[in-house]
Amino acid sequence: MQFEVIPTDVLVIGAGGAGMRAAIAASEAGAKVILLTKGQAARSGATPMACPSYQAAFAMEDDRDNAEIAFEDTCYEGRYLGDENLIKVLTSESTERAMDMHRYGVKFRKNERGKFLQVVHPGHSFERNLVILGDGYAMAAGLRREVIRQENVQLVEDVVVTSLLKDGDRMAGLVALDMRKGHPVVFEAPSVILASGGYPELWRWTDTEPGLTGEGLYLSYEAGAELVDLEMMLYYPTGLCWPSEVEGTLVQYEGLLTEKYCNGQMLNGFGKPFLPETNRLPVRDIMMKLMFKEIEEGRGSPHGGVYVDLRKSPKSPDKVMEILHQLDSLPYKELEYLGINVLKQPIEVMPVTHYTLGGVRIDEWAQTSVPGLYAAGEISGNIHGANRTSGNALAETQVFGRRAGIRAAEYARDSQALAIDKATITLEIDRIYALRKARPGGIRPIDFKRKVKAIMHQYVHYRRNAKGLSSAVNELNSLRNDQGKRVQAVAGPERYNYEWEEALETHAIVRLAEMTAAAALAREESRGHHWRTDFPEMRSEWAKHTIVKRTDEARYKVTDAPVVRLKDRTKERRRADPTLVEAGVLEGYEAL
Amino acid sequence: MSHILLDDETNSTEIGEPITADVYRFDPSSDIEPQMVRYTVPYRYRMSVFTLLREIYTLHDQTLAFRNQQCGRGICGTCRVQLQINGSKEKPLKGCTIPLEPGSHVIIKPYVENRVIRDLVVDF
Repeated sequence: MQFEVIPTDVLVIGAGGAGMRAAIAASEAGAKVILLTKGQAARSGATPMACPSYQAAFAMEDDRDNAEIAFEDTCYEGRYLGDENLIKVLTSESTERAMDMHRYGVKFRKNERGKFLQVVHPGHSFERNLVILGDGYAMAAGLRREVIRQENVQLVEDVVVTSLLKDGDRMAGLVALDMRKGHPVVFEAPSVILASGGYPELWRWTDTEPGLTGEGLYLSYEAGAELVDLEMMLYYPTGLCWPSEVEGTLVQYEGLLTEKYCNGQMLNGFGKPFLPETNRLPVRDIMMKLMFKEIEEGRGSPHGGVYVDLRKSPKSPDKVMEILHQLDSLPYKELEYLGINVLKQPIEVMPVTHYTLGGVRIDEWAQTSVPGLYAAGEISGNIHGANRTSGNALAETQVFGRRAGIRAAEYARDSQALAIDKATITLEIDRIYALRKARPGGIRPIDFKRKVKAIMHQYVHYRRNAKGLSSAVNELNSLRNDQGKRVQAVAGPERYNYEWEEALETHAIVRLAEMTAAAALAREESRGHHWRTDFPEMRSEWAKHTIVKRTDEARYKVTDAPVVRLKDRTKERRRADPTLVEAGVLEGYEAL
Repeated sequence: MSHILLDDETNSTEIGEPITADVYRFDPSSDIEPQMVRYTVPYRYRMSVFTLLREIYTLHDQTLAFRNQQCGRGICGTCRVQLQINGSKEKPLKGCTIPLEPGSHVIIKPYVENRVIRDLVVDF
């Protein structure tokens, strides 16, 4: 089979916040970079859909804040499962990276004193989130403009990466399907940076875009990297649950409910407030548990959620609108088109999968256990722990994107010539084409995806137990073996054949889903967003990571690894709010 | 965006006349000229133009090309198309924010016709 091999120094997979920042950094370090994206840069993936929050301890509003307090906040709210060396890097560099974005032309909202406005979100000791003008969309657009200015970066859009190539133990390149051309393409490079996001799309209720199917993680696993804490999927508390047309659309509870801002109320199906009386709004894992408890005990709203009611705000509708506008928190006009007016009606909300806490295991320089392979942004897995505070996702993209770019450029500069195996490439290209061939009992990829999502929804949802998780592992395994080989895309068009792309995605999805269920089965405790009915308490012996690693072609094993500590957390640990302990949402924490 | 792969539609069905959609189809690598293809799609409560395209892909014609990877709430602009609804003037609009009435007739064309990759997928 004839194929062209395109050589470069650094390949970046994913053109969201982390991928674009990585490409800029690698290019500035002198490397030639090819930046690949499954959709279009700054128009697909998670970053353009993000809320405007970027966490950085500038202390513009309250001079008591600093990086050390941000570090402690992040460790505690992650339920002490995040690697503290990574949290240290994140909290101490996010300010400088915000200033980089400022230089690229990304604008932050300013306060009346002309300094950056900083707002307090749950889990922040002080006002710490910058508000990006124009939300994540404007941030992505700003980064894209900087990427285009970099002469060393070539942006290639609508490309689906299907396999990573190796030369012995180290990275050598990748094979991808070019959707615009309608055929496979091959790239060769000593350094590969994964920045392709997480896998919230494996669940039924999600606020993310359909491309977030997690194949990047699966590719890294196939290449030998370790996957960490896959069971940790973050639920955002307030996604719209009705009408189905806008199901999953995120409304930012941090702005809607905080006393200082809109001061709306969260009510159960009977119109009664149910959040415990605390002086701070609960963070996401606590909030999702409180909401699901209400729904489970029969006090939910008609469509299976609870209500956010802005009409209960003591502030006038005009004032509320003014604040909403200032926080850039909602696509109000678009929601109004679809019949939702947040000022005039209580809106039904439910927790939805939002952000992948687990992922590829990295070190401080975003390096994985495979030489030449780096991971940055949502795809990385050991930073936040069992829960993430608002604003740390966008900060993470910039801090670790830059670090990955610098290190990948260095590695490429010092590396010897590569030898890539032509036979492996031919096999992969054959596999890609085979997905368009008719097979007996062929299954549409969209139907296969539905089956995976149904299993995840049934067994690996917010409440989990050993019986259900074992069923999930078995059912996903049989699904893969029985039907996975029959997945078949429509044969006709070659250019932009979306079903072909979906068929490639299913290969990763079903395996990743099974490993996620296996990791959830292994963690016999409840911590943050991982909530086991058979192990309802946080347990000191589980203050460690789950690790999924490939053992051979067909098998993986689930092991564990210690959390990297900078402090002794048996002694130096923050006290939990007694009201929340009493509400039964931090079970076992006090006894740790 | 979860309803994309949702099987049960119990909370979203409403009786209404189906939508008639004329959709631009063109593969520059093999077709001589574009053609408009008609689909009749069951109406769903507050269904948007983007949902309509997804329904066509899911239920009627899996070869239809449009960009699936988009935000679904009016932010990203990936779903922009040239749209005529019930004889209105053709306008560039974001497909995900336009709810359709039962029985509507829509004509959907690519946002920029001379940059079509295939069908409604455009290199913006």
